[in-house]
Amino acid sequence: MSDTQPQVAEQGRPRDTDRKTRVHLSTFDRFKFIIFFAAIFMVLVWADMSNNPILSFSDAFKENLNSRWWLLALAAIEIIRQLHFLAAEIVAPYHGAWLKYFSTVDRNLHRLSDWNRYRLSRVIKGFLFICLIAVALGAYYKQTPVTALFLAPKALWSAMPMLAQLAFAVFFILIQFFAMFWFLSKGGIDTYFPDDIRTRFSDVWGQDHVLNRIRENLLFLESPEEIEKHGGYVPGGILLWGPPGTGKTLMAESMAGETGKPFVFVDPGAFNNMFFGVGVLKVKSLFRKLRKLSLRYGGVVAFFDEADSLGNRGISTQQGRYSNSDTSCHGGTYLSEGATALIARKRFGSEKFVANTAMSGGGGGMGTLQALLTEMSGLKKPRGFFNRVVRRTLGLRPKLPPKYRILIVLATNMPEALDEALLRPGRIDRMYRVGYPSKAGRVRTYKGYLDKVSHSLSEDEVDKLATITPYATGATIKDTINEALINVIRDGRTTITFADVIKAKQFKELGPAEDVEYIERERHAVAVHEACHGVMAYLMRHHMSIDLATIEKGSDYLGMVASIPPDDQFTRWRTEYEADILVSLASLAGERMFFDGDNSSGVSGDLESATTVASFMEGHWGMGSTISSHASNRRFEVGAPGGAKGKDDGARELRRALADRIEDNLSSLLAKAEMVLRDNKGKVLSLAHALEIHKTISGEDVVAVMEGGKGPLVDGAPYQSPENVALIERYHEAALIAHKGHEKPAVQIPTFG
Amino acid sequence: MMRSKSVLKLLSILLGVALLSSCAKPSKLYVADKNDGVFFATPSGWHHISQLALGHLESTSSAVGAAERAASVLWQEAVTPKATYTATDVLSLKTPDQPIVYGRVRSLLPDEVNSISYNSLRDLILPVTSWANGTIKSPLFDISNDEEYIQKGGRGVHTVFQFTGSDGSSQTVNQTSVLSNDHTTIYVLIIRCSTSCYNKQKVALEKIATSFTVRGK
Repeated sequence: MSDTQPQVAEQGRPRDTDRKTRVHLSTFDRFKFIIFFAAIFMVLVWADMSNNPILSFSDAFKENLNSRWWLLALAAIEIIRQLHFLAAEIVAPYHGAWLKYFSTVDRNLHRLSDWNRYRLSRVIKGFLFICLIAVALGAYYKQTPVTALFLAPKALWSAMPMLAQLAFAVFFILIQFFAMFWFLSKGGIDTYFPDDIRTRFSDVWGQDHVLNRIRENLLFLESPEEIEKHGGYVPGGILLWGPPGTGKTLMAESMAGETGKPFVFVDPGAFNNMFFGVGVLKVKSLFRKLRKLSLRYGGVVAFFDEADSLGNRGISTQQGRYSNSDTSCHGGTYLSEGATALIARKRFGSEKFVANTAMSGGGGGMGTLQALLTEMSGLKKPRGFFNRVVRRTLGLRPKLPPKYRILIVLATNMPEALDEALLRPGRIDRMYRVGYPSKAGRVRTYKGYLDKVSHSLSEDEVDKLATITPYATGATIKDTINEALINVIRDGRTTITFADVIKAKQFKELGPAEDVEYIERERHAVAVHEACHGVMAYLMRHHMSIDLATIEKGSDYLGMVASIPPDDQFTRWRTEYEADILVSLASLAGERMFFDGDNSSGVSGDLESATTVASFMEGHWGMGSTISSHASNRRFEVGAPGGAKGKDDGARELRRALADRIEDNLSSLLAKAEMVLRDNKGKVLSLAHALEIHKTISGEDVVAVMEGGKGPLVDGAPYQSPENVALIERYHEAALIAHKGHEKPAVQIPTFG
Repeated sequence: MMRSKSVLKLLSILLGVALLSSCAKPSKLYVADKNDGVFFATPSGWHHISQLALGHLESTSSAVGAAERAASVLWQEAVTPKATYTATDVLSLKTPDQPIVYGRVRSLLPDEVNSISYNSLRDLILPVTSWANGTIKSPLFDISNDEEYIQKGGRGVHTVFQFTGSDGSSQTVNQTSVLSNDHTTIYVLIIRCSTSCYNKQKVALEKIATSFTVRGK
């Protein structure tokens, strides 16, 4: 821009507080009241003239000037007000003096606490209203206002019979609506006062990192000046999300217990209503209550449990969880939680369409969420008729409301179901994942619950317990200990031992065994299947250790090898996924190898898991032969790298279709699995033997069989002797023949020791 | 700035007008009974005579039927420029040296309803018809005006006459009596003054008579 060109002022409209003079009124605003008063005056003159045919206009005008002096007085006041405004618009010092005066008045008023000021203003307004009524009645009855005030009820009483009839008719119709909406807009909101709640932070175990953050929030709620004097603002909303049972609700409760502020618990179903608008009414009344409580007690905590029920304006909430139901083999329990979740997501995806149509809408709906959003961000706007209308008429700025200290806490296990607008800073400032407790947290939780009962567990045993239950939450730990206690009591004992807890854990994880006896050849087949998984897991999968192996049929599995990560691990690697796939494919490779190329349908679940993980490796995680992400390819519809099938082009061979690459990867891993199993044929059959004998063995027993040590249940030493292994192999040969001929095996299962 | 100044000027003028105009006085004194629809106007500055006193005086009068008539009076009002005149001056036939204007609305008694005529309207306070006919012996008497008077609310007669009363002084009576259209009510306006006074203020007093408006209920 050249210097000769006029500079465009970059400043926007100045803020009211930055102006030296008052904002100019428009001409209409300046004269509207004067015109209004003049119009009223002329109407009165006209009325007088029409009442008296001999009255001339000029005399009517003059008479009105005398008799309607109050109208003139009002007009004079209005003119003086306008002169005052005009002066404030032109003369900066005059405006400044008034501003100073008003700020002094405001400051003096704010010496009273917000609550007192609120009550006082209510009293004054009420008094003024009564005075106004008294004056009006006085004019009506031609009595003194005070007398008239007492005459009015008397007149009302004398008119009662007629009024009562009318009122009854109106009441009869309206009561139905009022009662209905009143009752409908109640409920679902419970208020607890500080002394009602006994829960404290010390009652929440294993979530210290989240608690420390929450403590910060509470600190600001208790003394907001700490942050406000430095120009910040108090975070007003917290989202606690994470898997169920991890202590979100307990945490909110302890929050209420610690603050000494009232705690308002909003029921998840509170905003689901039959009638349109009731939800909105509820939200409004809830926030009115919150504002009142926050003024009275200097703060309030509002807790929305299962906040996903508030719903979402766009996408439907995706309800329904994936259950590891797979009757073929272990329902993916040997996979890590992450891999299981991925499979779950893939499976759920195929049912998504059905899910959407069945559960469209969802949540409060019908404007409830919008009302909530508005209320949450509307806390700082001026409120009240006096504040907004009367103050503005007097030429004052409406006062901002007092700072309402409202801490909103949402808890959900489905954060994806929440509306994005709800989660923006300003509404929800902080989001904390209340995840599975860390090992230290689990130890603390186990100790906490064990301390409530009589037990004989040592420190090391508790530590071990925490290690082998990586995804335990407060709720599951409590449940496990309780299950153990039930068993102990049933046995007529009083003290819980380590074995009781382990038994309870297995019972909780696997459900009750179905007590079905496999026929011998099928038992052998299942045992071999699981032994293949077990041996492969022992040999190849070092990032997880085997928790237990079983061939007892449960409700949704024939047998299983369950593994757990020994440490808390947060990154996953290609070799680990390959090991996962190897463990999955071991069953197919093993069945084909041990049953002369035959294999059962029991491998379906394993293949599905293996394919899914392989697909993610190839298409998403950069663990295959190409780099581009299948997720983005699909989103942008560019297609997978690779040309059409059947082209014998060396350069393109590497860029084949995704499915082919996945299949190739799986094939090579299957070959590797076969190789590993062939090299460890004896071990597989030994482990199968141990399973057939004992049905369920622990991870240590598997290690004992593999290494010849001594497990809690199985002594591994006999499996080291070549003669014994030969016996086992002979039994397998007999079982294989029986399998082919569908008959009983000719050889009994050998037993050692 | 220019605009602000002109607005300032305008507002100041308005304020001045508002303050000054409150001193203005109407040019006439308007007397009205809005319930019965009767109006008349006298020059401003005249005085009202207490309505209560008027009513009280008539009801306590010993004249035949006076009390009965007083009870049927719906409205009456007397105005005079002389502040010292009382109800007695209004209701007696004593010659006043200042005008007395007396307006009255009365519902008719049952026997009056059937016998009412223009003559009886003319003879409300004095037997003017008989005097004019010579049926009875009259004092010094002259009718200067006698005409039918038609208004929206009714019709009647407007009579102006002079007579010399027992005190020997001549007085002029400007009398308008109107019978309502439904023959239930009579409206009367009587302007009395000594003849010399009447002649002196003739224009003003006739103006009062013409301002007499009967709109009816």
